Amino acid sequence: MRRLLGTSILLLWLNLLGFSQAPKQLILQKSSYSIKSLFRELNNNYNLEFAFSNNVVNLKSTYIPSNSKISLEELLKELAKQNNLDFEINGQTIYLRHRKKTESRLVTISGIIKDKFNGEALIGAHVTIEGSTQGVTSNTYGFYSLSLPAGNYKLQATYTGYNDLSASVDLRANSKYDFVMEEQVSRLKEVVVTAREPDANVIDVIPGKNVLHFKSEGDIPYFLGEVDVLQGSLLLPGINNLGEDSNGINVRGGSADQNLILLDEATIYNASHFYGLISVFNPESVNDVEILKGSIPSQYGGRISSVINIRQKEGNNKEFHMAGGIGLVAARLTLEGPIKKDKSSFLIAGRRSILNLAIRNADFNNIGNNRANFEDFNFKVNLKPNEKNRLYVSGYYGNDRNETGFETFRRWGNRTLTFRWNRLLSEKLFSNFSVILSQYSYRVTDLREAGSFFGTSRIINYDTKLDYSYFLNPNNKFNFGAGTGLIRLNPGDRLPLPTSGSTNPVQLDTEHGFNSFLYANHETRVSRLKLAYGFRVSSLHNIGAGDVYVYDSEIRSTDNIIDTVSYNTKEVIKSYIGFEPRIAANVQLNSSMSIKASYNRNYQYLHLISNTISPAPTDIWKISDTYIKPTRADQYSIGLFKNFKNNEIETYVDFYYQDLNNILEYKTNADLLLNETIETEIISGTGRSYGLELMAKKSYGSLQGWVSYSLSRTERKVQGPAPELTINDGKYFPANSDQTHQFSCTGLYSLSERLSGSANFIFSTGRPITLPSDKFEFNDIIIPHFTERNQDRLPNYHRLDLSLKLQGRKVKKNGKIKKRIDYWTFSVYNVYARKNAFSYLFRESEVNPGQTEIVKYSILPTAIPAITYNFRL
Amino acid sequence: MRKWVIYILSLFLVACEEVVIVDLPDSEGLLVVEGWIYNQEGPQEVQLSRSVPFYSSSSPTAISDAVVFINDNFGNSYLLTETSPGVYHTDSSVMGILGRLYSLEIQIDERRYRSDFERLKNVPVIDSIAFGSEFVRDPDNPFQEILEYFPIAFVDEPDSEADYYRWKVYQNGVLFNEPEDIVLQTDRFINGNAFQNELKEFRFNPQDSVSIELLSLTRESYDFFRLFVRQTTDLGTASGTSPAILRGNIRNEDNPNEDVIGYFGASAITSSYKIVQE
Repeated sequence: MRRLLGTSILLLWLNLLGFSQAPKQLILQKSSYSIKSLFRELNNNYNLEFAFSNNVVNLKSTYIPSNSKISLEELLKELAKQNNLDFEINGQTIYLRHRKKTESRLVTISGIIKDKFNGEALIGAHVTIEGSTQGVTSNTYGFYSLSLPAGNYKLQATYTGYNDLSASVDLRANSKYDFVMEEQVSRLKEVVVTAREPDANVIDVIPGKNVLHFKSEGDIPYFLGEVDVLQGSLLLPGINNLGEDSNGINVRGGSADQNLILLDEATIYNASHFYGLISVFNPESVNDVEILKGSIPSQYGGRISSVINIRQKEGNNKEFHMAGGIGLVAARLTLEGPIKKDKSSFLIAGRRSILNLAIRNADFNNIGNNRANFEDFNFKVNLKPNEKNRLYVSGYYGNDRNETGFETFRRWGNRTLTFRWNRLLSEKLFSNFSVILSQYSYRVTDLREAGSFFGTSRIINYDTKLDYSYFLNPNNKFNFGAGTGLIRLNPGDRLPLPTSGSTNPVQLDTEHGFNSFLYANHETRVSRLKLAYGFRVSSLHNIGAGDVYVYDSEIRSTDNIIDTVSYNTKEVIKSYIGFEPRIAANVQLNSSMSIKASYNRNYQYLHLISNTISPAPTDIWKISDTYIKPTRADQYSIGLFKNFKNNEIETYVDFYYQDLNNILEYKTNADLLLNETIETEIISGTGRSYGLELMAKKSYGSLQGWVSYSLSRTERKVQGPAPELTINDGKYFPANSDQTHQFSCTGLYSLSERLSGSANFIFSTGRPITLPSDKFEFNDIIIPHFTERNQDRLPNYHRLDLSLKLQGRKVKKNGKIKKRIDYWTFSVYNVYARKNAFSYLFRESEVNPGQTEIVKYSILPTAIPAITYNFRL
Repeated sequence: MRKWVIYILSLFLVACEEVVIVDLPDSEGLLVVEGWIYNQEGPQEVQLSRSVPFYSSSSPTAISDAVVFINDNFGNSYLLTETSPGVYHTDSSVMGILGRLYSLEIQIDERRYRSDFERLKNVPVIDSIAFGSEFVRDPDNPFQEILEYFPIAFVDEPDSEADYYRWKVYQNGVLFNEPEDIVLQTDRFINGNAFQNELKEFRFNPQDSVSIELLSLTRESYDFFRLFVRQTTDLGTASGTSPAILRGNIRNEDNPNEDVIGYFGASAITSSYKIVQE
């Protein structure tokens, strides 16, 4: 700039001492100027000085101000636009120069958005260009990329719970910039369902998405003082379960096996410890949980109802920390720290139940003969060999154990191992390569001498996948990728132990499935419309070796097997291919309101075989085969999203409709244990699910929380070619997970610096049940006769939980800051001791033999207090 | 397997049961049939009744004046006569014969019902009974333990595949007959082996007489009993399945859509007896 000055021919100046600030508001006398006269007037009246090279400005050209009162900035903008100039204000001097021709060239700025304190990548943080609505969101690895015309920009990074961070960049060539953001200290450090950028609710293109963000300390305890990843989700609209003693969750009426639960990309087959009371994820090792229930982006597939994406923390790469806690249920310990400062880090976490959960069988009074416990371990390591490459290795190992009468031992659990390699191929092209292993197994050892046996079932999948993100410019982003994997499924073995004299071995054939996919997705933006559209092509090849039975009619039974076709190893038994379009659109009506709509199709090739009310740990999985077709779901949704008070309050209303095909149902009295001809027990149905979800959430201030409501209907229809393949005469009937109303309310209040309280209230319509009309006698036992399935309901469910968190003193008596941070939580589950019905029992009265009665059975009918202690060093 | 009540600290977690009154669907008044033919000396018995509303204070209604026959696949037909309301007996000379097929035929007013043919299958003998024992808490004195005995039955299972059985246990001549006392067994895991069945749920005191019966079932009657057990023990627990109609093998000949409850089966019986010695 100074050089420009040196060569300037024309200098218009009056006041050499131009230290005063440039005036903000100008008043122009004339309605039309030549540039020369304009400069002179501004110089005379406001001491403004213009500096430029002689061929930059044509002094004779005319300028007509848009307004006689105009700010300097506006005037300069008008001038600049008209004459293709750039300007810069420096005190009283205004420098003018040609707009660079190279400006049409795009340059890319990219980098990682991370936490200042622990170096953890921030997922879903937003980077915007100040003064424009353009921006991008960081991906799962905290990576962002913005391609812009060369020039000076002020970029701003925003992330809920963190101070906004601005950076001035002079973009001339492709460059790297990492945003290192600082967490707000004044905020309540509680878990809050939070969208990531403050206005994500409105601007995000994907509808039906909720994120639970886990902070390092202090979350809402849900049951027995334990913070829980999945129990927490039950307070969100459209997510429920079948009662306190049930495994898994139901999203928009889907069954438990229709949720794709991923821990660092690895599939978790059974997400519950203690028969559903708590989930298998150690909250201390979890960074955040993203629940996608409305629109599933094309990189995910294989389950039709939702994606529950649990991401582990990376570990602090600045300094070493230890955290832990102890409560009534479990003890936890987490270690994290740098391997090489700022470059690489690790995290190891472990958890174990501390009391053997003694479980009493309702029928027999042998308390104490039945014990259950669990343990789990997590680890994650990340390495950064250089700026362009990053490696992650993470894993999970968990077990539940159960012991009956010191003779029967059961153990089940998940194991996962994920290897990921992030590579920046260019400033705009980000790639990730993953190799994933996940396994679920169940084993039982029965030591009762002559009949002793060892039983096992197992599912393992080995997957590899490659994902790319291409950031063309702030308005266009492409995601594409492909993957393939092998599923090995051992549906069950039952082998005699050496002590056994009377047991014969039973071994079912191992099933193999070869699962592949390809996807592409384009996120674009045209004015107020944001569009994310794409597709996924998925395929399944059920491959040998294996036998397929041929039945002489549609009504399959072991009596009408007419042939057996044997397939050799690697021979394809049956293959399926599915095209899955996915589209989501967001029309932003104004800065605080948008309409979102989506459509997507999903195929599910893997099914949990379970005919009980709630899935059991023993239930086996099944790969789609000749007879069991993939389940297909089409979901449509539309909603209105609105934020109030500068994003302090987020609200939405979302409608959805889902159409389901080839849902698995079971014959009456189906025998699913070690069954070689499982297809004879399974019938196929269709379904539909529709509803309305409302949510309002406040995530700032000393009072935070949310209110949610959903109104929904989930139905099944099973009409087969024979009466035993038909349910309720082929009419639509409510699914077990159907729930008309669900209302929940969660509040967190910061009482003082050290004390905060939280409350959850939940209300829902009772689950559908089947009632008897008659009673009769057979074998001298009185038995109810049941009518059509699921035509009635249990009473409404409601419950209030309260908790209080007391933070330890942060400062020692001598005034030094304590190194250890600790806190206590006190909680009460079911405060007013509501006797919520888990089910009805229909039986002969004990006091009045011959009389039948209906008994409401409640599992947790009393208020349950709990206490936990947590610390962090 | 998951009829659990959570019992972490008994102070906190106790499941609770409470009698409630619920509006129920209208009664259907269905025909209920229960009939067996055994390879033992008669009379063989068939009971006919009609279901009553669930909350009714009366027991199921007996069906009188029906015409009832048991037919076999050799063309024999045995008439049953009503000995008490709803209870029909053959002559005491009528006895099931191993390997034969039997079917039930009923006429009530103008409606005719017929069961499928059931094979009377063989059953192995119970070689012997032994006793196991276990210390349990004394129900009268929680600080003391007492010794309880349970029977172990020894059987040589035949080589033939797909055999199904039901066990019946009597204490001093009285049958254990709660729904959970119905013990069913398939030979799927024990086919052709000498095996022992620990009947641990049946508890005895010294000097009790123990009598055990082993009955042969067909796959159909085994399935029926399995559904029967599920409907009477598992319902309402997380491991329960959806309630279902206990349809058996009896049909209205003119109206196959009529729901008929119950079963007519054929069964061979062996038994053994022993007194519990301390």
